[in-house]
Amino acid sequence: MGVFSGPITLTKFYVRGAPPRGFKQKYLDRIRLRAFRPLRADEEAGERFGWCVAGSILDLDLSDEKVFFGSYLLLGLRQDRWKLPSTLLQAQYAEACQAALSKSGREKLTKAEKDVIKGTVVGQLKRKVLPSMRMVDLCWDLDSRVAYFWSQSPSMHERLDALFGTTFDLELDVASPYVVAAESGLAARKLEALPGLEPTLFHTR
Amino acid sequence: MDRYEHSEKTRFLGAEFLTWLWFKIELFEGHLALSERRAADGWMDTSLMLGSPDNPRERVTLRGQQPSASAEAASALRQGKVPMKAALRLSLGVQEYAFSFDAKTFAVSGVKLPAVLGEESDEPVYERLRLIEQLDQILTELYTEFLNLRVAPEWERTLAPAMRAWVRGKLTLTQRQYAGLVQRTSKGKRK
Repeated sequence: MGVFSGPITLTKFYVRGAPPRGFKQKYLDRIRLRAFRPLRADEEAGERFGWCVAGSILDLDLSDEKVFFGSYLLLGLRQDRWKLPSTLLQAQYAEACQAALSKSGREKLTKAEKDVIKGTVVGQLKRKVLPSMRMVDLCWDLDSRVAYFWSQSPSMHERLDALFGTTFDLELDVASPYVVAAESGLAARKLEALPGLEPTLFHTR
Repeated sequence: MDRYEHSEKTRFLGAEFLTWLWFKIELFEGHLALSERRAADGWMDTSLMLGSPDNPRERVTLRGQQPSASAEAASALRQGKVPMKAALRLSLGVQEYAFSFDAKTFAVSGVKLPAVLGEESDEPVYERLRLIEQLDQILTELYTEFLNLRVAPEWERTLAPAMRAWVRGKLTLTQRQYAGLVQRTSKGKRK
């Protein structure tokens, strides 16, 4: 699902603040610093997220022409996660524990020993499977301060919030009835009245 | 109170906006006046979810040709349920949008954009973004009209009673009376 093609499911955000002067190169440098780095089997990290080229999950070459489109800044937020088959993991873990018990001649393994075995089994499985990958596109209109994100998942919103904040030093406000009202140019006194309203009951006389 | 607190306190406005839009579509038979003498045709489409504001688990989802015109929809409204999510169609001239609108988050999903490409753009991505922004702009304009009415005394005095009558199956407000309300309440925009 993305900015260039495919189904459109959007969450709208408003960017608090404006880019600084001469932002292009500064932003490119900071985007590249937070470009996605693939997970490795020998790492402990269970997941990782970072920027990629919008619409191209494998393209991590974040160049000017792939990021800036007129007044739009386009990026993909890529998230990789290890999703190991749990039945296989449990079976191989149980097998490895049994082998360790037989070798040691003891009746029980310590917690530390079990943790080491688990880590080894997980590492071996990671070498046999690929992490699950997903990517969500972001389109930021630098003139209007509106950003569209191609996902309604709260967990992806959290990742976006964190990554956007550290990349651009700006905060995002997710659209809600109040936020849209505040950003729509509604007169100040009308906006101030909104939190004082009570819900209308339409089914009573 | 900060923006987050204001947002949580006023979530109900999304469902009220969707209820008002549904009412307006029926009052004007789909003809929706916008700013700068533009107008869109709008209609409730093939799915509608109504829920109880007090109990999130109590909801009814209706699907079909015109679920908004069904007896089940009318009954749900009379029981105090409000529209939480609705499939809508909006057309601006030859450009037609279809999408699902979530009242709580103002998010749109399943958006089908008009197929017509603008002449001024030779890059499909710019045209796609322009069309998305146009849809967003139409929704914002409609929401602004609703908000101007919502905070005005005319809401409790005239419009809410008319919407209650509509829930009971009667249209007691004329298009002209409604237009008068909009004119009186639409002044006042932040610069």
